[in-house]
Amino acid sequence: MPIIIAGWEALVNYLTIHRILSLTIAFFLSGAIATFMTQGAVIKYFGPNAKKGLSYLVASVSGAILAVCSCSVLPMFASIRKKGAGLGPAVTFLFAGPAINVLAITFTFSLLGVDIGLVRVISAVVLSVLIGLAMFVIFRKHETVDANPDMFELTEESPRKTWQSLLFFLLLLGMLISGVRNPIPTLVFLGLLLLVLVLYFSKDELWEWVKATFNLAKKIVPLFIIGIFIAGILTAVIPPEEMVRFVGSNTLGANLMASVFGAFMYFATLTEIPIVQSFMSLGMIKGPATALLLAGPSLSLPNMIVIGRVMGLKRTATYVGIVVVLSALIGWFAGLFIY
Amino acid sequence: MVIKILGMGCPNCKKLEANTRKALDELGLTATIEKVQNMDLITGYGVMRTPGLVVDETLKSSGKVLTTEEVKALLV
Repeated sequence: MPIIIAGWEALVNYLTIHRILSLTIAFFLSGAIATFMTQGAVIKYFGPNAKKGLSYLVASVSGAILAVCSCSVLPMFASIRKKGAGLGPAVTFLFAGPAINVLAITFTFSLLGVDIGLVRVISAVVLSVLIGLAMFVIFRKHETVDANPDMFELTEESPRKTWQSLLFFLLLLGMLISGVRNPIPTLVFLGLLLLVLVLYFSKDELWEWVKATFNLAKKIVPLFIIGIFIAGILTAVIPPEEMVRFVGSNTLGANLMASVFGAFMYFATLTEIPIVQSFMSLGMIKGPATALLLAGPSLSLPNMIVIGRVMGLKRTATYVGIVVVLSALIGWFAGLFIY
Repeated sequence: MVIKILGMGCPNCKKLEANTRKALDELGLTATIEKVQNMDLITGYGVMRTPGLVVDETLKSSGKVLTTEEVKALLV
């Protein structure tokens, strides 16, 4: 019984008005990205003829625009690898996608703090390029590419001019950043946003947007609530001494343990954040927490099995190994030099 | 007519399959519906974003869950 109460209390403490509002804005932003962002502009950088450097660069940040759920990541991963820019950029894309989407970033900042949030975003981007390059170097002799440039030439017409779309996204982003703490700018942004919507968007488009947002929330919110609940229970059942013993100091071993745990545990989208917060309240320090956040969302046992089906056992094992080791190293470095 | 639904079994693919079956019903057409879940075959059709819809070996749509009405428009 006390365990259930602990879970319930965690929920009550988490779901403050402030957080619910910022999560709502973040959901609308993600829904808008899924509905209105023209992906053709990004996808052309994954083609077989794109400059390799650009492919890596775009792959490392495109998770913010492209990948919303993991079932859309894998087909794109397979296409980029076999028909486009090759294994390296494909792996970069595979790793960076889940780590730098709008929802994950918003929640890391608001629950774990600005310092961990920044380190998470920046190191996820850097790490994704390093991992992609490492995979390319290790396997370049064994990759067969059956290039198909046409697949990467998507022409999507937008009914709006670029600056109109840009304004729309910037206003949403502005609302998300200023949030509840600065009600006046937020309301100004909201007013301008409504104006933009009335002027440049059709009713059907707005309905599509609301539907996309709702579908996203329907998929993620229940899992997230269960995650918070479990985090509350973990806080009640794990003895703090144990947590301090294993990950209470910034050693290489502690970071490695955190990244291995993160890699094999399954975290549903976003649930890694309350769980890490629970671990931190029990005595996990910021270095290992960073290692866990880096290795966690991009890898899990079920997802290794799926990746294994797509790129084979040897490449998957190498990928997992590189992710675990580099995540631990970054957590360790961040613990030594940043926090 | 052979219709192939390309996708690794995510909810969107199932929805597209349901919409396709409904479209066939409403049009009174009979067709074989095949599910293609092998990633190499899927990318072989030039599909990057699932779900994809292939009618008689021609790719008709990808990256979108077509509504029943949209599938009907493709079939007639």
